[in-house]
Amino acid sequence: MANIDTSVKKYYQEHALSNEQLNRLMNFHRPSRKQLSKSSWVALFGLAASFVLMIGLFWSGQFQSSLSQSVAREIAMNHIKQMEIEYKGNKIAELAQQMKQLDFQLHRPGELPISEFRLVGARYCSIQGQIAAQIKIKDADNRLYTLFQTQFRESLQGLTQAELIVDGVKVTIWNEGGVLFGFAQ
Amino acid sequence: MSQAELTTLLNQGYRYALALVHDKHQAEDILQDAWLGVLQANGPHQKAYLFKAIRSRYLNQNKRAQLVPMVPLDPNETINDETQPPEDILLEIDELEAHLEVLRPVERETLFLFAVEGYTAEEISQFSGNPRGTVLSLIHRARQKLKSSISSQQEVKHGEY
Repeated sequence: MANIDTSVKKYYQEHALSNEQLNRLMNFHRPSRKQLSKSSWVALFGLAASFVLMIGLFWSGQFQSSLSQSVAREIAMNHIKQMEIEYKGNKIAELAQQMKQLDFQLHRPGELPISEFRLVGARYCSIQGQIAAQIKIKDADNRLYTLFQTQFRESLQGLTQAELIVDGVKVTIWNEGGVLFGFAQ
Repeated sequence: MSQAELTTLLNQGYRYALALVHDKHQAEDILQDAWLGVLQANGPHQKAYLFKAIRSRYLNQNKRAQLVPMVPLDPNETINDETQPPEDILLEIDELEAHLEVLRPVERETLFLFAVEGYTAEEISQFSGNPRGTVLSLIHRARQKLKSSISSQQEVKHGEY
């Protein structure tokens, strides 16, 4: 028997970030800080690589379907929120230059489900606990779409091209050049 | 700040975000967004500053609607100047998740700051901008709602046997 406050406290204290999430957040850096030395980058890369390997060993094939649904759900949720953009730009390179916290290179996708479009701007978000870019684009009729990009890590391995409808949002997911793309319309 | 202190700070931020949104993925998202904001603004690595950043992002995402104590005070409700001791309950911690869902975000947030973070009603009032009396009322109502939700579930359970 415990009182309500104690139970609530215990409940929240049982929740904590995973080591992967903590490492990722701790590796974000203040803009004014000095660049990391080469040896630090090597150490960081080693740490990231071993972690990615552990994740890769952990996931099994049966996880693929639920993983696709989980990723699509996050993409749809971020799309529905319609959060304001933080970085303006009509070229991928312009956005990439501003979004320095991304741990991967932003890419222009080879093809999109819509033919003519223009970039409006972007903001950070997260997909499966890893940092991602949420890029807003408009088509010729000024309809708004969202393009997501995040590094295709080992933890996403097995995620194949998929098209799902989540909460009325059509989400297309694909892997291109080591980047996971998500398109919400 | 040591790595252990940073870990503690980030986990406190995560739990606070979880109290607001009651969804693990959304809590991670808001924390990441807020943490990036703290770093980019060269802000201090302090709990109060991080909590403010998280709250600000939550309010932006929810159009400043869900943390306003919209329910008027019941004229028959007596709110003492100090919070009364909470009542005892018999419950597995895992079961609390569903019961916390019945609370409005502002009630969950206030109870979290009071019961988990140990803020006083005055400190919560300063942090949230809600009057102290409203804070006390929110804590009282949050406890009552949880108690009622737990009791209902236990009655259903007993009815099954």
